[in-house]
Amino acid sequence: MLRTLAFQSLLSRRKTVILTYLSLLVSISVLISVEHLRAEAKESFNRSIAGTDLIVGAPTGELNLLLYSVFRMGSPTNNIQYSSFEMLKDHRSVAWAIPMSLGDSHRGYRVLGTTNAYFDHFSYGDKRKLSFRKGKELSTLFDVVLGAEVALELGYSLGDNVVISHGIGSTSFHNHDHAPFSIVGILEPTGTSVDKTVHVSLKAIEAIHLPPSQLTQVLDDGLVEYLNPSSITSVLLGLENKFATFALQRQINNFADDRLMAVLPGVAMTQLWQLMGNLESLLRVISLLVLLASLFGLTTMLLASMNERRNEISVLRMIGASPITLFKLIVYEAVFITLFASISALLLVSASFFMLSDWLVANYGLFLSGNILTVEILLMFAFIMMTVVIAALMPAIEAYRSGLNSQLAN
Amino acid sequence: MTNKNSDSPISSVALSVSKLAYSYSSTSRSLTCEDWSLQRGDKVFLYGDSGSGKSTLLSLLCGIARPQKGLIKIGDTDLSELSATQLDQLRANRIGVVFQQFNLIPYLSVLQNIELATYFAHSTVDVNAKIHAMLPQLNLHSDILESKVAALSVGQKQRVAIMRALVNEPEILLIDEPTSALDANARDGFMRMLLAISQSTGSTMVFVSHDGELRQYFDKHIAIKDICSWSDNQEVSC
Repeated sequence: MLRTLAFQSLLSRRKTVILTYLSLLVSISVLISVEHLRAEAKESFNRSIAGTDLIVGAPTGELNLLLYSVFRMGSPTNNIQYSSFEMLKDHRSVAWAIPMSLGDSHRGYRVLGTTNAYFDHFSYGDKRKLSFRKGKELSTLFDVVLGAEVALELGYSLGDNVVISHGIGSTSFHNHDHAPFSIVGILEPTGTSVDKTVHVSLKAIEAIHLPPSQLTQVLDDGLVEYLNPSSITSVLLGLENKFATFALQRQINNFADDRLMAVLPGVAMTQLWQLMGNLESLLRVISLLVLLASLFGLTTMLLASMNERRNEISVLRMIGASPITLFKLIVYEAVFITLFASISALLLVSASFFMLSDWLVANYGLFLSGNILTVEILLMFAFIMMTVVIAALMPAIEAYRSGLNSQLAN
Repeated sequence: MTNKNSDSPISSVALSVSKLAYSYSSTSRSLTCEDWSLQRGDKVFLYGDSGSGKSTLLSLLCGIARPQKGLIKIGDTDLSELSATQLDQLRANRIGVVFQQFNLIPYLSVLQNIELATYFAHSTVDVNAKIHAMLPQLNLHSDILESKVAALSVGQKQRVAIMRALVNEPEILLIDEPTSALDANARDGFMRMLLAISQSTGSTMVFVSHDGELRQYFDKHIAIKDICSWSDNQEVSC
């Protein structure tokens, strides 16, 4: 009965209640959007690499090595010798090694020079391997395999020609026009930086950097197999035995013939999230402040209604409502508005993420789930409800006092 | 909590006031009342001019206001001995009140207004049966139960207010100026209906009005000036 009374009372004041509801809807939507984005972005980044035990590159920051090797962000400070890669590949603890050579681009997308070991061993998400939507792996010198987004955005299909540019900008004055590539494969979408990568062979990277006349001579003389690079950017390693990880890391870091640095992807990822932690906290604080402002609005609305409801409260008191009952009535009202706003926000944010999922993948490479009902979000709702009860305390106490002071003369 | 039936067979006194004194905290005026009492089933007309203390006395009788001195008893229950929660329960179970402006909750339906009174009283009676038994006595049709109070005429609101006051079969019925908005004919019809239905419930009725013409409907009359008086002294004495 008390819930009916609270609900009907809210309906009778629908104009102010709707405005308060909208204010709460916006603030709760912002709060759960930020929380969902934060959690999903973290998940999205975390799924970018799996199964790789060590990343090896030239000495630099651990984070920098992770960023350019896995996320294709930033630039390598130095290269490592190709012989170091061969040493690592042949190491008894190493199950597989993927060489990576970065530095060129195609219309803003990074070009990765590698070997077919990349398609065989690189994993992401829950250790899922790369798979081809169309075509096959690299076989001849000027073969290229495109990530899903590159093919989609640039409208490429198998057999199309691709010209690679020197440098990593979206506009380059130095195109390797003399060595066009032919698309032989397009990968399935992964939701990782692989989708934004143009994959060619290491030999091809070496070839396109030769002067045109020298390249022609190499091709004419059938010397392609001798086109081995002198240096590469980094190496991804998978180990036979995970227990050997730290020992191998130490060996690599102390390698005498080249300056190498090995990092554990998980450790570097943790560093990345520590760095992002401040931004996350800032976003959380902003959204909590928005919620706080709405809760003040709710308190103000309920307090303002106390004056116009003085007579109603007196009547309730006269027919036997205790001050505690009046207190509960006001808390019910606050909880009802917030509950409706929370459910609406949940539906609104879910629908928004569902509708924007393709756009977010295409523009930001973020695979965001439309299902936002996670344990964290449910805990957040519990937190919101608790704060609402606290916000309702002042008007509820006012109702309690008003009830005690009510007189028949009112 | 005082049980509604616990003192019913013990005493024939329904309501008694003894050496009552009450002063508002916001003013220096105090109301003092002499000893008086009502027997079960009495229908009393309590009259007096505006400001004579009628509404204050009603607040005291139903336990909303607490006197600084003196006793008010409903049956054998001394209101001063009850906690706030017990007073709320007493008001819900043993006292029915009809206000001057009827004071129904406008956004609720007629049925919800009446159910609210039974809810606060934790009543176990069959509310629907009770309401449907009262409808013809109050010359109301059952269609009215789902109507919003805001859509009712003054006469209908009056009768719904009486139904709400009587639904818990209170021992005491306190009625405050319910006829002030009615013409002579309507007033007469209302008074006859009110007396008939309260007779059937056996409630003790205190009918408060400044309109002396209404005394014709009652056997017992009390002029408030004869039992209560205002004093300008802040110090209350009886």
